[in-house]
Amino acid sequence: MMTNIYKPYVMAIDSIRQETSDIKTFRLAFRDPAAQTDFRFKAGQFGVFSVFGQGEAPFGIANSPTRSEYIECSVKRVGKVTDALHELNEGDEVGFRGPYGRPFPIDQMEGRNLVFVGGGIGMAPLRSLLWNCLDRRDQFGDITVVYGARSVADLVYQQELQEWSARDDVEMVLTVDPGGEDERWSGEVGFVPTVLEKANPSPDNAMVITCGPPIMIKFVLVSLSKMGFAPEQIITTLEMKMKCGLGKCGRCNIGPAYVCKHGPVFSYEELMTLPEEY
Amino acid sequence: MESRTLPKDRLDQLVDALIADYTVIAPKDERSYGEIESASEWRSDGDKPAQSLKQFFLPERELLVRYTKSRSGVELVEPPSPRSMARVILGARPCDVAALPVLDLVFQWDDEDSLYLERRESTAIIAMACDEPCTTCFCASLGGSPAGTEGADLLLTELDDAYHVAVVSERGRELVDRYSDLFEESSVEHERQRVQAQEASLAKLPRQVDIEGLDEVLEFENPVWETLTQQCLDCGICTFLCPTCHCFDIRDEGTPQQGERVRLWDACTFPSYTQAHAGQPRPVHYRRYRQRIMHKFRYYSENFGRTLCVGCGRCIEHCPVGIDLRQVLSQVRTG
Repeated sequence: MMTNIYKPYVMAIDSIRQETSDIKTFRLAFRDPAAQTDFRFKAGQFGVFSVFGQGEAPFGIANSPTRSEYIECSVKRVGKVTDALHELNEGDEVGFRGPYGRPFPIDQMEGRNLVFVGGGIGMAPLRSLLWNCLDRRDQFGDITVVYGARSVADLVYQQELQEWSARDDVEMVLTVDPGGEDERWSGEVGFVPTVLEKANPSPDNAMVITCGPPIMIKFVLVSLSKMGFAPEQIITTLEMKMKCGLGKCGRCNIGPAYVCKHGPVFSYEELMTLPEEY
Repeated sequence: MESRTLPKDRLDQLVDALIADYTVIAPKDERSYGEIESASEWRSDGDKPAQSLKQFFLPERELLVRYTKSRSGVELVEPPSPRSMARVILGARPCDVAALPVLDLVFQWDDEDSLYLERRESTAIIAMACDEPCTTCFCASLGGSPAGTEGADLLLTELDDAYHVAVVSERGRELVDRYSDLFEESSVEHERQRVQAQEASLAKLPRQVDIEGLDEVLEFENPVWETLTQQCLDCGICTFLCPTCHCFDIRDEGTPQQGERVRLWDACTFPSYTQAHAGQPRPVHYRRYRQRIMHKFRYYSENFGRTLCVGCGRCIEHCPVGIDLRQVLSQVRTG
């Protein structure tokens, strides 16, 4: 008997955290304990979440596989399904299918220095990988995190940002766009690519993992190239409208790649082989 | 290939016997294939219907899961398995039948789509060789033929006084065994007539298209895309009538309390298809049309080793503004 691949798990909202004015992080628990026990995912994978009656939408899984007694996703309020999610309360039930897609190549990262470059809600998939690496800290070299948002109030995971900043095994660089600072802000002021260049992590034996708005990614790539990083050292994620998440519905097709199957994680080297249609 | 003959005066007996045992689908009118309840409902001559067989495997609207919210939480109910419904498709055109193994590749790709695949498993296909190809047919360019057997269980070819019955698959053999009293051994004369009929039909095929190496010369950056199909209305007819186009949407229909999650046909030619909050990668028509052609003739073959087109010609025959895929393919090759 084949299973219906479109039937979601029913998940209960365990807790909701308001990250910014328009971003919330939902912690979801499987209603079926057996499903919870069997569930495995890797950092960088995503799920298709749903509000019954409103529809489905894909989001990256924001927690680490090393902390997988629940699923977390951070959702920015931008449309029908995300609006509906934001209206929900703890205890409400939602749908979840997944995990889907190709994860971050964490095996390739072992023994290397890692540079995380995030912008806005792009910190969500990076957070999954970062905690994953921190929970296996001795297997990686230096870890640098450059994270920025439009303003102080737009930085997500504020408590964790402090926690990471306090660690002596993470180099944390936080920034806000010019004008986004407040009187108590002690971090950098400037766009992420500029701040990244200033932090100037070495490309030697390093990998960069970058997620954020397309315009940020575009200029981060320019900066990285200037700093001497080769395309195969740079890992990013693509966002494309998706429905099935399973390589069937055709929507996320870019060149021969399906973002839902061949991605969402791509190296910059791979991206250069795809038509610029994302 | 193993074969039988079916005397013409026993065709109706076969159809009635099939109707007694199965849900039988056959060309019903100019518009579509449909379920028939008597042999007389089968329109066995005439051009192929406007719609392909796609809808019987990937329905225009299909229930994925039904949800109901109550005090104890959300309850999900799956649709009944399509496997319980044994069907025979009768008189299917070889191009429509050849499209099914092409679609199988997508629906079997790593994650098996049970809804589609169970319909495939529970459906036997008795194809009918075309004796009069349409002016828009170009199946031979895609490796098919008016007497193509790919995807079929049995292939009927009309002879003078009988139908030649090619037994293509094990399931086809089960069918001829089940109704063995209706079939006769095929004679040398029948075989001669079959070859003659199929050659005659092949000779009537109109101009074909040069597909050889097309996947290698199709270029995303070719400037010809921008002016190629400016008359296109973005109506999506070509995609809906296409036997291999399979793009779909998933939506919830109902209230927050109860309703259905459904899959609906969609088309890469619609702006809404890729319109996301983050942006629109294909904001103008030519980019969407380019995607459709590149997907069919290049990307699909890179992933699956074959083309996402069987040359049925429906997109040419039914385009309201006269876009001819055969011309398009030759222009992008030379452009």
